[in-house]
Amino acid sequence: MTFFKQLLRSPSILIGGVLVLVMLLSALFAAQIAPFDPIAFNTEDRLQNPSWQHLFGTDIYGRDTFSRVLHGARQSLAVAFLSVSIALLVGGVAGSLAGFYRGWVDTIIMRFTDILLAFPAILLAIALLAFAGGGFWNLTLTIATVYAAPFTRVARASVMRVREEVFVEASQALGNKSSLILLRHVLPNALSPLIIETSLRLAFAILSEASLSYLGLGPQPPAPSWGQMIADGRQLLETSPWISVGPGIAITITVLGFNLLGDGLRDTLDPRLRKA
Amino acid sequence: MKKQVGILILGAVTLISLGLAQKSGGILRAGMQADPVGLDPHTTNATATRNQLENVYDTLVRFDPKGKIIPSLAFSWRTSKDNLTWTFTMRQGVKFHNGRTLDATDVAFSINRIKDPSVKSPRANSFDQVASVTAPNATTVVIKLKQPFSPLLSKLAFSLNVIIPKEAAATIGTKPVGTGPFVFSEYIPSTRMVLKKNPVYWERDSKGNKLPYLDGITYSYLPDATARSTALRTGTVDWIEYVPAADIATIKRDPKLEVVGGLSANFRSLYFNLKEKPLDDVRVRQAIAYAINPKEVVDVALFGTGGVVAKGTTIPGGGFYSFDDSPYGTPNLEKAKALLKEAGYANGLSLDLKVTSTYDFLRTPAEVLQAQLAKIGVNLKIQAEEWSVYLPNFVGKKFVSTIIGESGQGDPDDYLYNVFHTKGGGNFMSFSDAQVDKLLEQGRTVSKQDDRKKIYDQAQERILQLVPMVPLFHSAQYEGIAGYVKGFEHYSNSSYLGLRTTSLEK
Amino acid sequence: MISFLLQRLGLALISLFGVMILVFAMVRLVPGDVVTNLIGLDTNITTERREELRRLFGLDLPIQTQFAKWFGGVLQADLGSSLRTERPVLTDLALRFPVTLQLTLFALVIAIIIAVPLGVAAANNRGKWIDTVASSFALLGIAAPSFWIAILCVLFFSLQLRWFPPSGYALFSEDPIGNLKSMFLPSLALGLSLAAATTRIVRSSLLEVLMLDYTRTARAKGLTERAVVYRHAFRNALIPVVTVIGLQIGNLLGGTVIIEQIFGLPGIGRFALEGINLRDYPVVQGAVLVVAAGFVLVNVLVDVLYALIDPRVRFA
Repeated sequence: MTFFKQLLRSPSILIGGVLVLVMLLSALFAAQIAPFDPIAFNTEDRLQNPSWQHLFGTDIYGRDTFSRVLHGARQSLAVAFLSVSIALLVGGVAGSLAGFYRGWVDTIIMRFTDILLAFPAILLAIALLAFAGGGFWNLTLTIATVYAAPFTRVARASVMRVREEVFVEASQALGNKSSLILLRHVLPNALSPLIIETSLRLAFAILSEASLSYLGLGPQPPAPSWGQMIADGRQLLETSPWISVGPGIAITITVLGFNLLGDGLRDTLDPRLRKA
Repeated sequence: MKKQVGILILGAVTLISLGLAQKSGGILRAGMQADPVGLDPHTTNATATRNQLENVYDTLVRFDPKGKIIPSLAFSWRTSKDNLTWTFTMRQGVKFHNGRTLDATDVAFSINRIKDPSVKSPRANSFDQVASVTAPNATTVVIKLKQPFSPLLSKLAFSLNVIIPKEAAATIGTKPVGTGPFVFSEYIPSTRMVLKKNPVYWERDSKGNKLPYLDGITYSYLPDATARSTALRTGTVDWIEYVPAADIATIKRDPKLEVVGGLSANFRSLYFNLKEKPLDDVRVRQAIAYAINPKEVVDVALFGTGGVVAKGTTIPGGGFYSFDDSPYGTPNLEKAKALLKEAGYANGLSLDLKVTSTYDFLRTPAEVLQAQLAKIGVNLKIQAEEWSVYLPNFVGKKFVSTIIGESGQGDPDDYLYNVFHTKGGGNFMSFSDAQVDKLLEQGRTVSKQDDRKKIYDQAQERILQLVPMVPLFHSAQYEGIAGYVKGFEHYSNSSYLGLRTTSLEK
Repeated sequence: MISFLLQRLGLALISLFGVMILVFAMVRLVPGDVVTNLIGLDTNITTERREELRRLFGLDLPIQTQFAKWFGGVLQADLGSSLRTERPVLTDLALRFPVTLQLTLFALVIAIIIAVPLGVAAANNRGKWIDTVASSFALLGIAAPSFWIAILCVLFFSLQLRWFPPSGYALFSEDPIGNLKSMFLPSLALGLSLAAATTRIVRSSLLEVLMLDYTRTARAKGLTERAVVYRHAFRNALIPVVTVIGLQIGNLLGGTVIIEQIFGLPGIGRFALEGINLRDYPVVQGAVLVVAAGFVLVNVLVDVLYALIDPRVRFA
């Protein structure tokens, strides 16, 4: 209870949490909230200026940009959450193994991680997507692949730190199996940096999803996606800037939310890392 | 033979007339979409290479703006009675940019170079029917054919099949040398290509003035369509290619700018794979055709300007052989639904549509079609693929339906035989109809235009009945130019030979 | 220190070798090849001709032979030639590298010009309006996608104000002013998020230092607040700032891909993107190798820098 109180005392967590929550709710209930169908054409209403009816105006097909932004939240958040979860799982396991067992396991995993980290991330993603083709799952898996490496690093560093602590030595002295020690003692204590990293990576994942969709490697049309919407609106930038501005604001708010949440979590969970 | 060279130069010098008022020159700054794909014109099919280098070179014969073949380096030609031997007589006194005078051996060399497998020309097959190219003397080129092949002239006129000096072949990929109105000066990848005026170019305008008028052309590369038209509007460049459909109206409104261009020689259709269920049923295909509104596709997906609605089959409208009496074009949803019901799909059906994400004009129509077909219960499932992935799938017929098309030359045979004959190389629908095949074969042998027209009308009517594809539109192509750029003419085959007669009048 | 440096360099080389294998295998796994792209829709091309073209490009050799050829070439500074243009990849990279480098460095400079004064001002006026402005900028700057900032910059600075060209590139050697003008908007779009991140670091590390003993001593000596901040605190606060910036250079190199595409700059990112789209294997391989080498090199430098600052790292 006190822990949650402590969490809520942090303004970063509060504001970030609210922003993320708003976005999550929009994504979950897009179908109920959105005033218009995000896909159906309405050619009489093409390229309308923002109004109370159409908050962000309408696009070239007469679709309500605001409704499309709400539906786009689904895509962005789903890709972000799924890809980061996969990256966390893969990177967390690999990093824990490397940090706990050290030796050749560590060497192999970390060399591979180094290679992935040395590969320019966006080129890696573009090349992978060129291989697999765009679309929801390919996009998700690609971002997961790119982010697995940083998670591996964070997990390894954290596990290594905890491993040296007294209670682990005590457990070893008691003759417990190493896998048991890893699961019962090391991991729970090594979680904080991973939680913080997760929150910050979610922000990055939203940005990556948007960039790749902008390049046309995102979901299949006509499913709305923020990056693709910005790209589509670009050729009408001067006459109808809202088509690109609306989704841009949505991306900014979402990323801001995750970043604030990450900062707040860092301050609360890991006072050693706390910045003034 | 070589001794004649000196005499030819003398001749050329005396031919140069003096004194006529010249149009003002200046350097044209042109904004291009893409870099050339290599500078060797023989080893690529890329439009970018063709358009940026075609004014550095000449071809043996060439197309005029309307697509008619006219003399170029060859000023006359004749064929033998059996149509197997073509003899070309060369223009005299034409000089390469390296100073040497062109002779017939350069022509033989250039065409043989394209045919040479080790050169890796993608157009080696254009001259498959050519048995030999020889130069019996400095001004005569003889082409012997294995069998009669009337498209030979259009192959020779294609402005990548250019004549190069034989001594420069080894370096032609880095330092282009031709006989054209502009001399290649410099190329910095992704930055610019600089061409300078060829002061001794052979061609003159109708008033006898020397061509070209421009002192030079500087191509810069602006891959982003919006950025390109913005560059024209802000005066960074004088001329741009591929004006995006969304910007045509804006540029037209600007009193200081102009847009030229329009319908070009191509077609874009919704292709059906007739090997796939339920598209093997002609009623399903007809139902879809009745539900589609191509005008809406052009208005919505192409901003009303990016294409011209297809009225008949694949031949662009207005041509002698185009057939405009299509039963489709205005949606008839009742009829479409009835046909679907008859075919056993009263409750609708689901259909995969593969498109390429690389080209907007092939991708955005998909969403319009999706909305149109939803009205008759056909659920289009769009799958967008990058061009490099899409292309092998399309060529391998791994699609259910797709949006694509081809470019043609001028003959109806290009648009019909290739696409709809059972053995046509562009028949990706696996369409096969004995009656259509027979008519198309007949069309190849008949020479009288009116008789031919009747045959092709019948063939097109039959094709529209069987609808292996729903023709949607013909892509339009526009160049945007500043008002002071004069004399530029748009070519229907999208070549930029019009820059030869362009001048800047600021 | 020398052995530490050698060890780091050794690891870097192993990573690069891994990158080479990875990129080599990846471009070949990508469906579609350069021959298909060259031929396009020309359907009269026979299968034999297709195979012939593949053979001429050396694409029919076993993959390990192809790799050995490429690797042997790389050791002799020969990255092969583009399959489409037949230009040596190294020549094109040498032309394009300065553009990407200039873009990266300009972005860095813009980031520093914005971040340092803003961060210092925020730290000095903690809790006041300037701090709020700086913190908001920092948060929003990181959150807004750079390609979106880029197109908004074009809308505002090029189309409305007409101050800068919307795209294109001028060579510095010929048109220095034009060059700076054409690089400004891309650098700004790329540098803004780095500026935001750096502002936060400057602010927080300065605040930390300002609370330390020697700063208090300096104040007690009667130095002006300005002198305290700039002469004493700032210098010490710089270390984490420099490290963070060093680490960001690698990310910037990667981030140039979209920016170069939007602004039509002839840099390495666009080169690689074109290579991927057209399946031009030597181009993709060469471009990725160069960017990865730059990234790895910067990482080694940062590691060394760390080791110089904090000797414990060397023995970890």
